[in-house]
Amino acid sequence: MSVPLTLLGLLEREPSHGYDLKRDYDTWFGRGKPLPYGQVYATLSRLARDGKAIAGPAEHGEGPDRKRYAITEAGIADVERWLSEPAAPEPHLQTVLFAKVVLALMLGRSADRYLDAQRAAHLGRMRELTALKERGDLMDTLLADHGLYHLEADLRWIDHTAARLDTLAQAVRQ
Amino acid sequence: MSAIIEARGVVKSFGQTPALRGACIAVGPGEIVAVMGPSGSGKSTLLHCLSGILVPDQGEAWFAGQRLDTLTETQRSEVRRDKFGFVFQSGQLVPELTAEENVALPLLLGGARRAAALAEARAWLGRLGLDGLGRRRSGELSGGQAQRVALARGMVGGPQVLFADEPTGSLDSVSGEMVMSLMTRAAREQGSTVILVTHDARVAAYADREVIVRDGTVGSLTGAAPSAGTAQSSEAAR
Amino acid sequence: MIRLGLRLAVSGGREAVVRLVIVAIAVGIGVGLLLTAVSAANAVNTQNDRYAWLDTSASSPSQTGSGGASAPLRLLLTTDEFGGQTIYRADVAATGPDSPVPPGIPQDPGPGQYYISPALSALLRNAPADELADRYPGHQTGLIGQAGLPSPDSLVIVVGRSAAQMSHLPGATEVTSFNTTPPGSNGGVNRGDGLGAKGLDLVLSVVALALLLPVLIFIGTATRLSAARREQRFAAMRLVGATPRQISLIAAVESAVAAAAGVAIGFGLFFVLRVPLAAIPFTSQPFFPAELSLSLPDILAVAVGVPAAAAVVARLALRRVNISPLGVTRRVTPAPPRAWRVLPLLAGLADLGFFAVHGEPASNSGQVLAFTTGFALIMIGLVIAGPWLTMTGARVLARRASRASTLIAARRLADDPRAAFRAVSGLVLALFIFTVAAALIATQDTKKVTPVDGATAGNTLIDQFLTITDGGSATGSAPPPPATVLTRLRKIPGVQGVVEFQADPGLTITNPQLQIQGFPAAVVSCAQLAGVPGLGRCPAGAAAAKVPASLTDIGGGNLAEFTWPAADVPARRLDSLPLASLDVATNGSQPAIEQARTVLENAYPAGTGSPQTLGEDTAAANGADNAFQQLADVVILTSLAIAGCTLAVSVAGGLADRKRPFSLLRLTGARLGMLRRVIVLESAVPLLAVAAVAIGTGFAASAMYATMEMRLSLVSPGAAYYILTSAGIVLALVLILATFPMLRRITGPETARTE
Repeated sequence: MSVPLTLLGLLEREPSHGYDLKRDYDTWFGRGKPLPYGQVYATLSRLARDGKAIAGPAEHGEGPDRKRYAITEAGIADVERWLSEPAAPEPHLQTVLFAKVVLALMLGRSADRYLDAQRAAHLGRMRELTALKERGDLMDTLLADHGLYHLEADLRWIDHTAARLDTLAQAVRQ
Repeated sequence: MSAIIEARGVVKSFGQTPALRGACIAVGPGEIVAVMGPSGSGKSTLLHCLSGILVPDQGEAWFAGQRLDTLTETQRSEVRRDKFGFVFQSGQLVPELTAEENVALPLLLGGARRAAALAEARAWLGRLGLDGLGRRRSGELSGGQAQRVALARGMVGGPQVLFADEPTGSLDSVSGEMVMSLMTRAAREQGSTVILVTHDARVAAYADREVIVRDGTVGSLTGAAPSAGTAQSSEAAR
Repeated sequence: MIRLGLRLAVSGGREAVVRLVIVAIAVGIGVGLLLTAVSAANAVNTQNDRYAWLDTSASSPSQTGSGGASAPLRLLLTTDEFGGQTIYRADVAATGPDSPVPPGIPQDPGPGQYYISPALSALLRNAPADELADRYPGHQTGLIGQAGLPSPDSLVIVVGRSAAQMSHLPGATEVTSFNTTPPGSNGGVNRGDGLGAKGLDLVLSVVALALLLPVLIFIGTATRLSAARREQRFAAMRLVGATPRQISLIAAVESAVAAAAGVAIGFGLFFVLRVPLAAIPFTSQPFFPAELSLSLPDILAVAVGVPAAAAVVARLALRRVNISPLGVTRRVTPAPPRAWRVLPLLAGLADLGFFAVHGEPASNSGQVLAFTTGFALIMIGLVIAGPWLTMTGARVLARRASRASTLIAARRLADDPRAAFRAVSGLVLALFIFTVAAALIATQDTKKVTPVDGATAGNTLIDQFLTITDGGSATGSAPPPPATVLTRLRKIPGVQGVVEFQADPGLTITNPQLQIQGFPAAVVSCAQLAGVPGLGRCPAGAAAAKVPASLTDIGGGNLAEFTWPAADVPARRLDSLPLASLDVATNGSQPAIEQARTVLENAYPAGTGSPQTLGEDTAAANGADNAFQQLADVVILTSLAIAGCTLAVSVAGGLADRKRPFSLLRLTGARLGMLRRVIVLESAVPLLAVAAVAIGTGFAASAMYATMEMRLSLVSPGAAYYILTSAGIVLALVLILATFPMLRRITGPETARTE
């Protein structure tokens, strides 16, 4: 779960305070585990240092909370690359996929393309595993089957989500 | 590499319902291509048009450099008999004939002598692990056995293209795996092209590449054109 | 390919074999009936031909030949009666060695000789001489061979006479040869068989149609058994690359095999039934069994034609269906039957109606054409219109359905009315035929001559010399009998009295009760009349009375109660008047009647027809109807039986079709009782709807036929008809209900498994 990229993605919507970013992250991606403020600001500083975001002038208030950040061109490019690059097909990448889909919808991008790309990657991996089954021994076959079933589960989720994209988009944009 | 079987801009409707709206696909010789898509997307219709079972309303179907859709019903039947093989989900064996007669059927229809046709049929049954079941009727076989008989029938004439439509749809996972494994192995040995319609990813994983049929058109997941290629080229397209 | 077809037809598993057997039986019944009809037609024609020589007269066409012209034969042909049976008598006198010889005998009998048929010979031996043998002068010289006998039971005698004797027989003619074919459509001799050649053509065509159509429906129903599976099998073969031509060839072979088996069964049936069939007197006389024969062209036509026709029909049927490799997976609801289907039925009714209004065509063949077309159109029209009627009835029912079962049944019917109607189509045709036959027979019965009431009148033997022509004038008479004849008559035990009806030209009588007006009258002596109470009374004090000159031509009424008007004829004149008829009152016993008849015939040979009692005369007039009724009974029973078979096969097949949808319904909670209601409604609605139409059409067609051909208005058939019809319909419903015990098992959950 890539926190920097997620925060960057959230930042791409509009320039925001760290406070707002943390709130949104907790709502959508926290799942009961709120992000510590310290991690938020540390990440934001690092992003600013790397030129992906820019810190606006400090505003009056208590401490560094009130700094407003904005995304840079480089940051936008990073987010785009991250979204469009399929994740390595491993089990338990639901969280990453989930984040990508939600962000894509928030940003008004077409989630279909990302999902398709992910599907292709999954299928490619499944092909490899199937070929392994054909020529491997019993252990290889068992492991390959395990992987295949998980990949299939992911694909099912992708299909299911793809069918609900419109509803999701509405929910996200409210 | 030129395509052995192709659809160009195929349009096909059933009554008011359009099933295919300008579908294009090209498959090279020896390829195993999975045709995927949601139900109702027209994948089976694409298969039927490619194999000459249906004639498209518009567009062209090509096989081995010849137009398939302009042939007469009789000619298309002969192409199916001599050059194609079919493995469908169910209901494709003739219940009144024994297993070996079912397998020999394409040869018999083509005018082969009965003894020779049955010998060839028995050989294929043996290759697929069905020795001794030749005299049974299809109703007496298990699902997996029946699908293997269908596969034997599909392969017995040495087809150039094998068309499979949800071949494991009625089978449990183990039988399904066995059928898919046998099918791909036999096809690769014979150099047959396979066009495999399925919604099941684990079945599609036996293919070299996949195409998606959505809303009556054919596309690939990566956005590249669904053209002929080997297993390697589909990787390279990404 | 043919081998493949054979393989599929014969050893394709239990279902295929059952279907083959049923189709073969259906075809066998049809072929058997066809062969019987053809051979019966042959036999009737042969028999007709053999009656021909009994119709020979000087004006026959055969007389134009030159053979035998040098020595013509003096010939007198008469008919006689004994114990209710007809005896054909030929008195012959050869004028030379070249005189023509009647068929069946080696030479013309000389005076004092006669040739006789075997049946009559046996009768002569068993009956008292004064009842029968005394009629025939001479002794038996030999038996008449088959060539001269229409039927094995025919009573025929050829009596030899001298030329001089022949010249004393009024009515004798000279002929140069004998007829070999019947002289005309309504030809000559009153054989009492009732079905002249004209009636025969009509009846045979109607019978053929009435039997053939239910059989064709039966065959069609049998062929449709497991049609879905066969279509699926053909689709699988098409997928694998069978061309449409190969498929139709295989289907044709299958059909031809079943049909060939059926032909064998049919021939077997025919040969088994031939002998018992010959004994049935369709034409009131049995056939020689050998006459129920088939010519070689007949046999070849059936043996080759039926399988060939089956193959052709199979190919045509496939053309309509167009099996695709995807077969039945994408079955679209077939188009509903359109309203034009009622047209043939209406056309048939219009045909009959037109002729009812304008009168029947003049020629015999024209009449046959008109009636056959009308009835054929109606019967075929019923079959064609059936699905549309079923659908319309179903739609009406669906609109007004309040219960689930009614709605389901109505919708299923409206969706596929053809299948529903097919099951009951045979029954519907049988009902139509039954209605027509019953109505027409009942109407025909009113035409029956009402016999004169009173036992005595019925038993009065009348030798009628005076005949009434169609124009109402009277011709013919005979000299008064010698006293010996009267004495001999009165001495016969059982004879109550003799009355001489004496002809007085110009005398007429009117009696409304007997439906006569200005009818030629005869004079009877009141003394004679007093001795015979059954023939009426004289007015008190009269010496002579006026009576109708011919008792056989008047209407009914109890003659015993009549008081005839007095006749004002002086006694002298009375003695000189010739006889109009000689009436002998008997007690009705056969010895009395036959002895009296013998005496009369010997006294007056060659009167116009032999002496008959009034009762026998009535029976002869009604003879036609009996033969017709017998035939109708056979036709009705046969078509009902066939229709029953059709229904049974349909119901069994329908059960198999219903398996899956009904088991699914049960799984979703429908109770077995509701499913049963659905089945009953699905079967009952078409049955009742079309039965109503069939019966109504039957009455309409009969009414029109009665008006145009029989010139009578239609009479309602008796209670037996209504009872039998209701019973038939109830039986059909019972057959449907008979499937219920199997329903529970068949629609059990295991059937709903995905196959």
